[in-house]
Amino acid sequence: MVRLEKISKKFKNNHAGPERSFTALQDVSFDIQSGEIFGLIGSSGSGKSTIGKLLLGLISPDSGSVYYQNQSLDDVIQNRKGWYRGQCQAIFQDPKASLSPKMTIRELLREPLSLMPEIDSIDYEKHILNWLKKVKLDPAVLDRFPRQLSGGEAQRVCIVRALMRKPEFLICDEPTSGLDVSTEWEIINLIRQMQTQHNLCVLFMTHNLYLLPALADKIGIMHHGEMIESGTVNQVFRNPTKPFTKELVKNTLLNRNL
Amino acid sequence: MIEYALKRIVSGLLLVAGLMIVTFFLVRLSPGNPAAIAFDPTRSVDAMSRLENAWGLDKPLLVQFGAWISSIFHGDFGVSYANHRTVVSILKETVPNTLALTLPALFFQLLFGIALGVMQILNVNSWIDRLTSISTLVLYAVPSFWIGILLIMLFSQKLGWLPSSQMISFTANDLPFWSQMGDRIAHAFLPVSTMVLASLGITSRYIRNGLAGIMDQTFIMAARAQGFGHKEIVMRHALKNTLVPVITITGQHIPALISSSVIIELVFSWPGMGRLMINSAFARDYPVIIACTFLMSLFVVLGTLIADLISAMVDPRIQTGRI
Repeated sequence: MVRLEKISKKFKNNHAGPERSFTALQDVSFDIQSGEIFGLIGSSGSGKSTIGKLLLGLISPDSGSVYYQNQSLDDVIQNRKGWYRGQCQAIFQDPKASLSPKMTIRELLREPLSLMPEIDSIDYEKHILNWLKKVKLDPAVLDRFPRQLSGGEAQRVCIVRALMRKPEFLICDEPTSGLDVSTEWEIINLIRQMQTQHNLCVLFMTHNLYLLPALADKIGIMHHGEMIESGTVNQVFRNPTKPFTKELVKNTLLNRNL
Repeated sequence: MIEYALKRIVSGLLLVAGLMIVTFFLVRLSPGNPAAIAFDPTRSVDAMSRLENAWGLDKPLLVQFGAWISSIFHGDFGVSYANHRTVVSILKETVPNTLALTLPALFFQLLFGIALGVMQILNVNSWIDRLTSISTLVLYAVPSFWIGILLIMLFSQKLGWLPSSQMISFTANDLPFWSQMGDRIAHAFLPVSTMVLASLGITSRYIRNGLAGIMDQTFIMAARAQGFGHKEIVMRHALKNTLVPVITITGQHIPALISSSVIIELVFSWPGMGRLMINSAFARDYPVIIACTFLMSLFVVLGTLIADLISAMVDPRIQTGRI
């Protein structure tokens, strides 16, 4: 469904220093099949978010190719941008920052529906209430502003906003990093549940390896812009080959007693 | 909110009071004697002493200050040394004239400033954006009186389209109402345009940079990922969030507009408070200078106070000083 082939990306270095640019991604390749959850692990600055932006078509790679349903993403973005924006949705790290602060939740949830001509505006409220029920959100949130929601509630709103457009591919960029542990698992379970219900292809980016056994089918380890290891969760957890992965797995097992 | 508003009002009033006291002493300590300026040289020196006595200028400075404070509290700003009329009656004539320039100038510079800033962001990093940036920077850098002189040379002298001075034509009183209004608008057009052009640069740059900052935020990236186009994102998401900067810049512009009106009124012979203030300074007309300073500082404090209070209402974090 989604395939990255030898993707490299450099950014201009805005900070003082001898280096004019820094490498965000170096020859990264992996693929995600339809209905599969791919977990991408790496510390901050390892290049995870850059992959997310590339897949959203917000930036282009310097070299290499990205394919969506066997078509070059560049061509898709150029010729069928509107269609792709419906196909590929994203949930970001800071849910409150992902929602326009001057809009109520009702306005925010009506927005994605306004991009779907097949839905009549008279039915917006019905659709919204139906989605709120699915993610167990109280309809009272509709008249609130993002700042008046808890982190968990705001992330549920973001999930609804993303899934309302009926995407086939969902990018989750550290969607639980600012949440407490119980809310974190609620969101993980919700994503899993939605993935099963809608047969989504999910790219789940995180720096917490312990989240992935319960969620991902395959995982990839990112380190300094390179994918140093990838495979099924069992493969990577049981037979890590790179020292960085071994350390990561060891610490995760120690901390979480997995 | 009430506590924040009270704090701001008290600090504003203290600022006005401080300014008045400083102005009182500054004008009296500056060289030149108003009685000597107003004195008719053909009359005796005693006449000048009598004038000084009548105006209380022969008394010690602190006694003058006490008398002035007491009269201020009674709403009495004294009598003009130059015009021999009460300062209040002079201000009643000139203040509306100044507001007739500054209020339309404030409105149009905001309107065009926001439009330019939005246009730049809609065409960000394009030649339109760069050309507008350079043009507005040039407008911001050149003095307002120079813009005024250029406009007079072009539209009054060369093309003969618009009048270059005064508020109304000498013959306008005989015209029907709408023709008279048209005459007034024609007279105000160049001074208002000068004030708008002189302040347009800062507003449009403020809006452009504010919008550019918002365009980097996560909710804009989220809206882009949702499928909204650049224009929709700017108009629906980013612009809504520049409300606080717009209010702030409006508040900040009021002092700049009032101070620029002093020069603009001189250039266009506009009978407003600014021109009155300059003429009063030359005549050492202390009561008028102080009253003008009081009113101008009051406008500035009121303008910024209203802008701050609206900003605090729109964004409650301002009240607690968290931003």
